[in-house]
Amino acid sequence: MQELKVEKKRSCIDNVIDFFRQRSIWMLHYCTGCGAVELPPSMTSRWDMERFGIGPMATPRQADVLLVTGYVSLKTLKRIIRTYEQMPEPKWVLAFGSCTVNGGIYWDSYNTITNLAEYIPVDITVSGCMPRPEAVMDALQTLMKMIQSGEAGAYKKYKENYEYYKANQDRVLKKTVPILGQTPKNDLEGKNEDAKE
Amino acid sequence: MMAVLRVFLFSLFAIFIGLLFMGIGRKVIARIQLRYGPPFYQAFLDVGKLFSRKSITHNFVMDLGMVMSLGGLLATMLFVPIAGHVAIKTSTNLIVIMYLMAIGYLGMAMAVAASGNPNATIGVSRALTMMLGYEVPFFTVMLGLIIVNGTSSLELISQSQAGSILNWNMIRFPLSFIAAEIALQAMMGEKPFDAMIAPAEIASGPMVELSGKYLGLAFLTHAVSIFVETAIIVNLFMGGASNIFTFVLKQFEIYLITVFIEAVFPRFRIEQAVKFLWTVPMGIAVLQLILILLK
Repeated sequence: MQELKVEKKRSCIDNVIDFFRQRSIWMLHYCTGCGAVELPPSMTSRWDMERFGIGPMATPRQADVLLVTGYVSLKTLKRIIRTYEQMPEPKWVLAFGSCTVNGGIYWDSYNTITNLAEYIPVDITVSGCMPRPEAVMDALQTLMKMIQSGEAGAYKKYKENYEYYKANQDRVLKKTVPILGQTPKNDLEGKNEDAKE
Repeated sequence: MMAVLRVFLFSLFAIFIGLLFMGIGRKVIARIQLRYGPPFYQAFLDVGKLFSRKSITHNFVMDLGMVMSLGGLLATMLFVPIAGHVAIKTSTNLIVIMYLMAIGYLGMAMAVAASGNPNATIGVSRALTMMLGYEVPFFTVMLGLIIVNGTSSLELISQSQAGSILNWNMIRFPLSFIAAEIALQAMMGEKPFDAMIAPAEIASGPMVELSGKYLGLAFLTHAVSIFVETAIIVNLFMGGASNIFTFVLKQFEIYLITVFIEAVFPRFRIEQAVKFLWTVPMGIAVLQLILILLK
């Protein structure tokens, strides 16, 4: 897998655009795990994320950053990948809690993944079980700094190394196909599967 | 050439004031909820970011509809007198405004219906139903004022209230003002009447498929609609203004009232909202109309 090259020379226009991007980060309001419970206090009056321009948004089309809050089961992973691919660029991923780094307390579970960064590119991780709202705020502010300096470009990595990510995704998503019933089919975009759900 | 420049400057001014109001409104809501809140220029940052993002279009009708909704509201704005200045002079601009204001919402309806998302379709059908709800009381209020002044020129109506504060239609016809305020709340899509947006319910309704530049255009449309609607109320009830600063200040007072109501109220369901709009503000407006006719 290629490492992402950070461009040293950045033009003035890049800096201005990145200033706008880092001061107005919209999160996807899609809570995947138990870590989501830490988000309401960081959004409301105790910690108040909105003072940095960070706010929740309802759909992936409008969102800039995808928060993966906590453990990711195989079925959730399928939805996360679909959601991630629906988001327009530039987009960032914040992996949240120990479960997304090394599996956390679910490290030997048959039904969860252990390292999210193998399946979608992750910009920044917060470890902890659960991370406190201060840690979440710290992570988001680090993300803001990374956006301003041009380091937060994991979505480019996804395009460049799509085969690597796709192979990993296919390897685990095979397990989500029902054992009884139809012949195993393994497509992420599968419209037939959607209709059934 | 001068006319084109004039139209361009008026549009820029309306967008600037609208975005400023949106930012201040968010700050005020944050203070009411005991939060620090975003900076007052947050709306500019949001729009700047949205225009720098990649955006997804579904078909040509979606592009056309988004431009039509912004264009329709900007066209409305050109007929609204702003402290004595008006981009296009007519003698019956209230009727033109009433017609043109619907075009913005119809453009939005066209754009989001073309995106094919069921949430968007639900949102837009709710928005059009809401339009049916607030236009009836608002037009009744306008009718009363047209009868009193014997003209449908917004400039003449605002000039007729010159002099002291006691001449304002707000004091002379308080019932009309209350009815118009409630209708304005629905017109702006603020809290008791925001069933068409409802983020937790239908995923922000009409905006569900809009990304990047399209959402930016929707933001600008909302900014212009705030400017137009508050300007109409200021001209109808608060006697316009002699200079532009007083005018914007009066607009801001009107906007602040809607923001206060927005900050503390929950949401009506769509049929409750229409029922409310057709009974309470409509009843108040009709009562005032009868009082005007008996005079």
